[in-house]
Amino acid sequence: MNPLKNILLVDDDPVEYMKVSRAFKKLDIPNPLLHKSDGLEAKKYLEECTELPGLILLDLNMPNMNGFEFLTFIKADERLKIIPIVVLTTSNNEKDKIESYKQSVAGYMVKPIRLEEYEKVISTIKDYWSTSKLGHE
Amino acid sequence: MSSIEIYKKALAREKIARKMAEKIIEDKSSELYNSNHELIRINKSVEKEVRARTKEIQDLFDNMYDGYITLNSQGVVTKSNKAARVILGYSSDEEIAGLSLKDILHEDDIEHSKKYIELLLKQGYYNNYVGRVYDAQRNIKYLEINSNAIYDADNNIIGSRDIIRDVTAKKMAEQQLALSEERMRAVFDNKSVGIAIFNGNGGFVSINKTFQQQLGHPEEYFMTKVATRILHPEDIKKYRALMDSIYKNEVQEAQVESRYLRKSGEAFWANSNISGVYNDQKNLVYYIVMVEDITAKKIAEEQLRLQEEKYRNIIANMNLGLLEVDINDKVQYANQGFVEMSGFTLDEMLGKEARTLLMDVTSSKTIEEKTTERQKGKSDAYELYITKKDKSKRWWLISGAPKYNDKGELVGSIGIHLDITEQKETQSKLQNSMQSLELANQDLKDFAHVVSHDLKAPLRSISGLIQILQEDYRDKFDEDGQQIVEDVINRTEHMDELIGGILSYSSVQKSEEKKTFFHSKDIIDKLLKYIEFPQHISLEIEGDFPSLNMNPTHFQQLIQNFITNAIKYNDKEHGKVKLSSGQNDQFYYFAVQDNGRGIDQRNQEKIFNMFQKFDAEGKSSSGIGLAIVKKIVELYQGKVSLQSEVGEGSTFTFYLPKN
Repeated sequence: MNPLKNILLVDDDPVEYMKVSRAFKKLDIPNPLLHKSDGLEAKKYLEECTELPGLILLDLNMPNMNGFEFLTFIKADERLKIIPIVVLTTSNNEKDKIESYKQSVAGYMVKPIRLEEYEKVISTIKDYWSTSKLGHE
Repeated sequence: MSSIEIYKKALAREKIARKMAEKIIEDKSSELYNSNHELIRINKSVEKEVRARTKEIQDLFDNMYDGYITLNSQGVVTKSNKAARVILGYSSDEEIAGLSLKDILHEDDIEHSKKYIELLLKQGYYNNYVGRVYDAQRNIKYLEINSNAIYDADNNIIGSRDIIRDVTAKKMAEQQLALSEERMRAVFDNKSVGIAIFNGNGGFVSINKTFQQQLGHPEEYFMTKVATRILHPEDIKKYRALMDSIYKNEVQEAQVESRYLRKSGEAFWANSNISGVYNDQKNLVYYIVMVEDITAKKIAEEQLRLQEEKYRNIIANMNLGLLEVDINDKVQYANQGFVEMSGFTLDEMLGKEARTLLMDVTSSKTIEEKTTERQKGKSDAYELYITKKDKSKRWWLISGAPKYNDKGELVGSIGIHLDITEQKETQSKLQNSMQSLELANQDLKDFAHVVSHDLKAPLRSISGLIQILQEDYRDKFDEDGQQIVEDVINRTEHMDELIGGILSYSSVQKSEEKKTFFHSKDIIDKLLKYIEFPQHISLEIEGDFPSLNMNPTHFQQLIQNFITNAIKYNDKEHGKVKLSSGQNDQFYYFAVQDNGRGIDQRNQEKIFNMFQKFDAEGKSSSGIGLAIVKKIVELYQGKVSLQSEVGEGSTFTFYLPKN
């Protein structure tokens, strides 16, 4: 992935943003990390932005517009549906996983409680997306 | 004398002599003529006589009742009279000419006939041979033949004269007679019916075997007795009355049920058919009595009667209402139960339409449909909302069946009625509670889901923040401070697991859609690939693993929980885990055996409760795994058991019902 592409984190918990951005720093991920605290805010941003983010990290349980509603919106939008979305959630629920993949997510990661483990998850995402080509490079 | 003279004289003599001779010849020839003439006349009259006699003989011969034929030594017919031809089916002499008797002999009589031919050859005749031949129309005829040999001048037999008589009709009659005698004998010897023949005084004339067996006396016994001697004293009067009226020819036949006495003194019930045999003067000669033992029938009847009485009592006294209606729904009968249920008296109901008495429009419609069903011969049960005499409303459960008469014609229906108003109310209450229970369960599940997420999120934040604190301010804490921070992190981690446990516990539920057939071993093999076995623990698998019909995820959870526990709590240098399976009558069972620490007797019950763990060494556990196990197993009406000894190990076994 182009190191200049933004990565958009959609999560209502600011601590999650802290954890992800710390992991970015530790793992030397050069991409700028944007944070929107629910689906609605993220939607507004995407509709207005000129440069689409390279990847969206999406929480499922959020106020205003939750992860699934956000997925429904984005997958119905011709311009936006090219952006790969990785679900990053505390839910290990079968139903949530199935529902997410039905909405064509690119990955589903369960947030570990330990920071080291958390960093490993982010590292995995980094490894994958620094190799994988995007459709909108 | 001259020679002329002499010649003249001689000539004259000769003339005279010739004349005389001529005269003699003339006379003789005339005589001859006359006698010839006479001869012709006589001959003619003889001829005529002979012809007349021949005709006479021929007529006699032809008109003989018996057939007459002559045969040559080859058995070929050379002569026959009309009777013979008629018997053999030929119409003329020409037709019968050349017929060989051998050819028309019936194949079964060939041997028999040979003996007679031998007799003929030996003694020159045979008498009264009877055998079959085929006539010209291939009908079988019985012939009686008397035969005499014909000899030539040298006393050799050159043929025979045979008198043949058609005895077919006689033979047939004999056979018929034999047959009908046989039939009569068969009737008389009938195994199921005893037959006795009495004379007009009631004395025995003849009895058959069965009669003898029925009574148990030897045949001689009867010959000195009269009929009434073998009857039960109470039945003598009516029996004798019948015999009297047959004797008087008032009736010729009668039936009577009476008791006979066996030799043992024991009486048996029999149905007797008595008929009279009369002579030309219509006087009774014999009674013929046919005796059928009906003891078994009588017993069956008595049992039937008792049973009927029993059921009548049950029906009369049961709490169920019984109602019989005709095809127009008119009440024919109602038992006491129905009277009490409906509030109407029997008199109030008889002949009335049941639906008018008890039903509103909707129920009437239902009953009309049911009546139609009943006419098709169908039985069923249904519920009806009815109105009692006092106008109170009740729910009745009705089981209806068509009612037929002796001829199998539908004449109405019989209904058994049970008041189920209370049950209905209970049922409806139960249904309501079931519904609220379901709602409550759903609520609980949603609650667990929401709460766990809502608790999880801030917990995650706390944990995240503390870990950041730990990382960023590591230098600012002394050793105790560091330990406290580490403890807080551990506690939050544990709490996270607890919340996760509650979530999975609450999401265990039965769902028919997720039920599938699978082979348990397949799931186990798949699962074992994902479970990490430490180096010092070995796994052994044995037994027959069955196919199951359940949610495969549930099965996986069961096995996973037991195996991970067996690994987690193993404190031995060489840890052993054994997974086995088998079945008994009702259950498939799976057992996980370990040689780990074992569980103290007093904790063995509690271990399946939520949040119960007995972990002295601080191993990470939510204490919810076995609670989930128990919940899953109980969901399928199964059970879990535990055998354990501290220090030795534990065996967890779960049982799943076969169906």
